[in-house]
Amino acid sequence: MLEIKNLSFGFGGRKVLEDVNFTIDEGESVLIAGKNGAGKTTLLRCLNGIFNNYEGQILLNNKKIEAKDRYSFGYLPSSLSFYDKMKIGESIDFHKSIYPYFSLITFPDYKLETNRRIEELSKGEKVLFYLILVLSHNPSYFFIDDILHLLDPYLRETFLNILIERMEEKKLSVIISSQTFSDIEGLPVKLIILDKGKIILKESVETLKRAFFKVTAKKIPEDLPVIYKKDWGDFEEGYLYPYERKKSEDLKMESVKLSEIIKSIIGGNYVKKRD
Amino acid sequence: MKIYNDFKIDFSSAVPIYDQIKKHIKYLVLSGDLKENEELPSVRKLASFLKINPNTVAKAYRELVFEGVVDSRPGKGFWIKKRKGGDGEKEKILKEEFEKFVEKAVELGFSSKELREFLIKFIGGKDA
Amino acid sequence: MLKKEIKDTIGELLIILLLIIGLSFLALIKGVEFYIIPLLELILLLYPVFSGWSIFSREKKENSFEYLFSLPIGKNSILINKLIPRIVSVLLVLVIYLPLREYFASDFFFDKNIFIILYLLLFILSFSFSLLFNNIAMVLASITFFGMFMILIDMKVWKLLWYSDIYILIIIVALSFPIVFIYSFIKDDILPIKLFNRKFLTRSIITFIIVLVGLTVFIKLSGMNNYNYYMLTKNGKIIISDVKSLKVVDAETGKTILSIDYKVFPIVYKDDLLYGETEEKDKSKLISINLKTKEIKNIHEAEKYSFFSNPHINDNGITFLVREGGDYKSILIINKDKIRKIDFPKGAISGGVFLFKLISESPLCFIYTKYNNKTYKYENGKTEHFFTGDIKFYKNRMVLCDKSSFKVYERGNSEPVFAKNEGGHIFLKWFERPYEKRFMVVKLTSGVYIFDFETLDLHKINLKFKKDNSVVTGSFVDKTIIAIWNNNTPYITVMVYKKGRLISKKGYKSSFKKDKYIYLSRKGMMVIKWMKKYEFIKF
Repeated sequence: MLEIKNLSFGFGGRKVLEDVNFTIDEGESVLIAGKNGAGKTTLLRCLNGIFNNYEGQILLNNKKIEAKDRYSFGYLPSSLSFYDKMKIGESIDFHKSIYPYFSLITFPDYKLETNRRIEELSKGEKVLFYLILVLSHNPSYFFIDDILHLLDPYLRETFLNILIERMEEKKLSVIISSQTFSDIEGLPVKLIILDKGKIILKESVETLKRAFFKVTAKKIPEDLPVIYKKDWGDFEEGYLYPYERKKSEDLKMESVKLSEIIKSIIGGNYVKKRD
Repeated sequence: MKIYNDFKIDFSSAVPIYDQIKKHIKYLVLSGDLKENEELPSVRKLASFLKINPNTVAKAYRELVFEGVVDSRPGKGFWIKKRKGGDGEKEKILKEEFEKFVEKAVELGFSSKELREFLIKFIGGKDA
Repeated sequence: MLKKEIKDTIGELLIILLLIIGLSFLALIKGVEFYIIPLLELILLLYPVFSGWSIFSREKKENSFEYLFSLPIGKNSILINKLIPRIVSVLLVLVIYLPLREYFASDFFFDKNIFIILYLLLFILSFSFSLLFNNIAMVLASITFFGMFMILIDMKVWKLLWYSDIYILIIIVALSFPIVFIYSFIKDDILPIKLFNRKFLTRSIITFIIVLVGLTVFIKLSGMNNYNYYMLTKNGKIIISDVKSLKVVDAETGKTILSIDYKVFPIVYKDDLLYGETEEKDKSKLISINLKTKEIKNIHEAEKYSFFSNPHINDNGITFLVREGGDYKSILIINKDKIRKIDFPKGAISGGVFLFKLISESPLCFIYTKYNNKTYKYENGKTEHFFTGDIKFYKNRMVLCDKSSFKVYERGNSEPVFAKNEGGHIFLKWFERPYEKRFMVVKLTSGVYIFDFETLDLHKINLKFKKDNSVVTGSFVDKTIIAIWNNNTPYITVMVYKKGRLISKKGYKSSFKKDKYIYLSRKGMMVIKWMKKYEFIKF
């Protein structure tokens, strides 16, 4: 279990993360969302040893995290930082020399050309190669920082299947920070939304969906908890949260997809209400 | 396998995914599309097919076992459970479910006439 | 991790080793070595710069830090894994190159110790700057800037005289960069690099200033940059100059006989006259001070930063070499009130001169010995190698002593007046250059002898000493005094011989252990702790 307790981080006097608290269980998958600059990448960097000067604690199985704990971590940074001058074969050897349980996974319909240099790969190919490399050292926690959109839809599906397999078989926990995720809707069980470095929402997807509704009406009543509203002229469209559905209701209400929920939370006045 | 036919998760629904799976399987059992002793797809396979978290599939299967719809043998997989009793038992289960349904319909403000029309339309629609 | 770093290092190592081998072969070709050897030295000094800088420059260029730090390796291990192969290769190149440069022994080379210090200094500095600069030119520029700044500090603030002191202090100052770098690397987050560099730079500049100020205070308080020049005259007067003033002390009583507020660097003493060098605004001057009358006399003026060196006293007076702008320009001959200057023909003399003896003025003929023990003779407008070994003069006699023979010649006679078919070594210290002493101590294969230049007698004496012993000899009309000491103990053994016969042997204990040298007089010896302190021990 990975526990993040009162995590705060800043650089150059600017606060980037403030009092972040959450836990990730074995086999759990968490989606971290938020506007650009909300602190998603910084959070993942704190968890993966790039930033160490944070306040608060990161605990793995109740112990303060150390460098060696990262044997069970896999990290796909959005920067795709790597030894670009290396050949694919060399980089596999290098990665292998560091992770003792490395066993190269095969990706259906994709053959690694060991003589090509990393810098010669396209961005999508680099993401794929990185994924293969990281999954090959058999991590228990897999952090993906908003990079999957660079994969083509076919590879994205293949990758998703590998993830599902790992989650089922090896209790892999997946932590994804993402902006676009229509094809991974069904993966996360927990949603964390960051805004200006603070967690503004931390909820199981199941609970969230039960209390989230889209309402369409000529005029949405003032007493409803509208967090995001669009005026179409002759009618209004609004998102309600948290809302418990009444026994009798005249309003047209419908449930919405996770992506729409996130959009309305980070874009609406849910944020403002909390300030 | 019949289970995959027309099996789509509605991600915009407030009904939790595991519940959607449960409902789908129960419906197939009821309609006879899933027969007794018929093997269900593995958790991984169904999760990959539906592009969802395998834990969600596992949760649905677990609850189906608990409710007596599905049988599990550790390490081997999941089967549709053999019905105890005959059609009487079937009727009893359906009756229980139906009571819940009627209760919900009343909650939502359906009149008995509306409910009857709805049912006829629903069954008719399915038959068609 | 280590494997990759070793691989990265070996590539660079092979290139430098090939360069060393290639250039060394080229240097064996006559005429080319003049260009090749300095080039080799320069390339060798670039290697530690490159190796130190490469420690993180690749990560920075390839943007691979995020990957590197996400690996399950602590920062300490990353640093160690990166440093070890580079330190090993840098030391390896040094170990290979040192004997090579000894073999070439070029005038262009730095002194061996200075080279080693410079080589290591370049490594630690460029290592500290490996995250700061994107290209090696910036590293070189900053190191050059640092070096020039330190030279300026030494010239204007520290005013130290000894290279060894200056280099040690510069190393201490320079160490503040790698220490701060390692501290920052372990403590701070490396990304974003700009922020890391800002913190590192602020910290190192503060540390640098603190260390610089601390060292300066230390130098001033400890008197590290106060120098004294000591001299003991045959009649027991101690001459002390701290450059700003001059003092003459009676060795036996310790009383100050004379004190003059005059900026002078003493060179040689003869008949109550102390010859010294003084610097004025735009010139250097050779002066004489009469220790009885305090009268100061100008003897010769030369352009600024000239040296008057290699004094040689004989019956005809004193000769000095005049060095202007690094080259020996002329000979100065002082005989009572008569001063004569003879300019050297071009190319007649070069390099550092250990001893100099003028043989005749017209036609000009002289002999000089360089620090490598090679003696050259200038005669008939030509300089030729004359002898390799120890050489010493007395009046019109000259002794040549090498590994295989000991021969004494007299002017105008090509056959030796005395010869012994075994070689050895004459004891001759830099501060007792041939002042026409009658007795000398020589160690030959068969033993140690006292040689009398007057009678040409070679007296064997029963004297044993170890390799690291220092020996100084004094000759006084009829007797020879020999002092032997070791620089690691405070003990000094003093023996007095008369016609080769030991008449007294006594042990003395000095308050100084290291860096001591001794002047002998008839009544006692002055033990000097290198430019700092002295004591007079009575026999």
